[in-house]
Amino acid sequence: MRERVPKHTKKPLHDKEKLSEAIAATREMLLANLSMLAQVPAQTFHEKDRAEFILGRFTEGGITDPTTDSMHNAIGRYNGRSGRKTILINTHMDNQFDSTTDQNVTITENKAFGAGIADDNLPLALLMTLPDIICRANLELENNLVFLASTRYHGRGDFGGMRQFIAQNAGGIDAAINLSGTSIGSLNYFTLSRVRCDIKCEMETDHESLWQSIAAGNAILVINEVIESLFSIPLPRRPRTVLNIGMISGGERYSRPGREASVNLEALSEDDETMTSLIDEISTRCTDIAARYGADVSVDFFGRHKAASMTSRHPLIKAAISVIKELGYHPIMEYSNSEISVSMTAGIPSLGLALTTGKGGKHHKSYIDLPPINKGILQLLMILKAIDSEENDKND
Amino acid sequence: MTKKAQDPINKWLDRRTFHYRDFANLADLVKLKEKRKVTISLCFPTLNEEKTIGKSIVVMKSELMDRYPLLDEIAVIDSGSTDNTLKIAAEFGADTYLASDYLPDEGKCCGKGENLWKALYLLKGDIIVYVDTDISNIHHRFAYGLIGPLLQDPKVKFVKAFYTRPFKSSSGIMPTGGGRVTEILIRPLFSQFFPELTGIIQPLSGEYAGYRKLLEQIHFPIGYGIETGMLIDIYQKWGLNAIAQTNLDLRIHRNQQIASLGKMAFGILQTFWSRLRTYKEINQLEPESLILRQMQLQGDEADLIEWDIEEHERRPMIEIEAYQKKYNRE
Repeated sequence: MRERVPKHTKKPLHDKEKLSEAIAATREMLLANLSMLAQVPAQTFHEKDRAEFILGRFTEGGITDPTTDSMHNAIGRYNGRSGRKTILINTHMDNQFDSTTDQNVTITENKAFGAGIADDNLPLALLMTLPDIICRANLELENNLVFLASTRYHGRGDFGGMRQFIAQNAGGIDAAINLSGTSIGSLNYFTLSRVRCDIKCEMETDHESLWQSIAAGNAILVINEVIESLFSIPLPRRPRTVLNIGMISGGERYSRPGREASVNLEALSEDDETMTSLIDEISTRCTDIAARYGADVSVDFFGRHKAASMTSRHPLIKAAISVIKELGYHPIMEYSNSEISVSMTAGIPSLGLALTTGKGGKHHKSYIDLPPINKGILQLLMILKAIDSEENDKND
Repeated sequence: MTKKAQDPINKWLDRRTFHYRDFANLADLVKLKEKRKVTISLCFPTLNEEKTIGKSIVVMKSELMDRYPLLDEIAVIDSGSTDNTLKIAAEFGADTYLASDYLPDEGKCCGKGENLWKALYLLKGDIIVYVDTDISNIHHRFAYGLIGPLLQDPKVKFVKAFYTRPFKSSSGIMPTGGGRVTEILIRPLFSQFFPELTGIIQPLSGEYAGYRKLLEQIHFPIGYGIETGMLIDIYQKWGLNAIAQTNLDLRIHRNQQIASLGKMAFGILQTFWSRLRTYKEINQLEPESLILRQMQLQGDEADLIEWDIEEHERRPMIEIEAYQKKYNRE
């Protein structure tokens, strides 16, 4: 990974007020994009309509040749003055709501409410509004920007859109900024080794006699045994490693033993080798339990991400810390489970930023606060300007 | 037994039925507006709409003012909301008016029609667009889809919306529903007394746009009868060809209880009888009572609920002295 200590850290980076005014002037555009976007369902693997909507909005914003790919990623490009570097700005477009879920947004004086609104709808709306903001601010950036609204982020999607984009374009991307909705001040620049795992137990309990069925076993009890066994695995404190149960399901009714049961896990570690050992241990334990109970236990690992990180000495991170502080926030640096893991693993300096404050969740009470958004967008523009300045200094 | 509809209605349907996509090139629509040298105002009539008003305004302002200068004015005319409707509307840049503060010499009335009528006095545009605020999937097509036919063909003076109307219930968004009063009351009445108006797909839709010079000359029922009265009056004065309709696609709104629909039908009927008296010279149709009686069952008990529903009407705005002065109509 390329690192360089910048020479210009004390130099004023840009005209903050002018940028802030331009952002304020596009408030209604941003909120209109947020409102209209929410009307287009985009459950993971079913994002085509939303991708088309985003491409249409890119065109409205003056992006001349918005494109898509076989994953329905929506991609727009802004050509900088020199085009020496290309910065990827991305967020994901999919969510976990099917088309019957009301995702409409409510906008009040200081808040916007809506299902999943604190997730990534706001950055998506920003991606569609950024060309207008840049135009209104008469912002002439040196570097190229690529706006990517990626697909297949959630669950089994496993960052599919981002993976494909990076696989096809990694050589042309010099830095990546991943945007999320909340909480402003967050600065992510390291990711953990991660794997997700679906463990499913099936048992034949369909006997004529109820007593025979009960005696034959119960998939729920086997899954319980699996959980107990997995949580007795000794996990190292260094490198830190954790195992989390995310979801559990099983059984059909009160009166019958469970024929099927499943548990969905996520494991995180600071170290890839530790993760590989853990995966092997989970597989072994599940096989042994299946044999002991005469059950069919399947273990499906997916979503494996490697650990990747930068240091706060990297000019991109230095600039981000400086901007966040300048805007009055205390940088909150923690690991991220976001798409930066894909770009970082490809050797692209990457960071994750958030745009406002709010409260997450799938329900209609989830919200974002509107007043901090101006600063949330400002931080992004200031960081882009800082990257420009760094490039200029290098060429002086 | 089914029969093919009358030829004039079919011809009208062919010539005067549009889809909002016909006008989706907003740059062209703005050029047409400049060519016609008209100004356009958008009116949101409100009463306690804090959940939807903010979104309605930001979408219209962003797309039809900031991005494409199609609208010259966005105004909220309110019936006395007790929630934050006016505060939110002002926050996002709409002009806000409390209807009761204006034209006090004309007496006090309260209802959606009152707000629409006062919009003629308060707003500046040559074209006035009315859009309801209970639409949760608001989109700027709800305005430009109505403006398009008015700018495209000078013979069109008034445009009604129609749409697919799913409704929200506790189990989510249902794909069909709505339009019950239209199918059970309005369409049978139009079929009997104003058959040409049966070509209007959704006569009760809350979104419509028209030229000021036409709207100022008609009566405005202030309650449930506003859409029916307006449509019949325009048809009688200017003919079916002055009217067009646009498909605005999906509209998600609050679904009303059947008892509320009964009240709506009761009010509409009063407006309808008054139009029969005016245009058909049927004078024996004076209702004997203006009290709607509805049964409410609670367990084994049946309660008779009475609602006093009287449809007042505002005279044509052109007859109001203050309006004549303001718009040089003396």
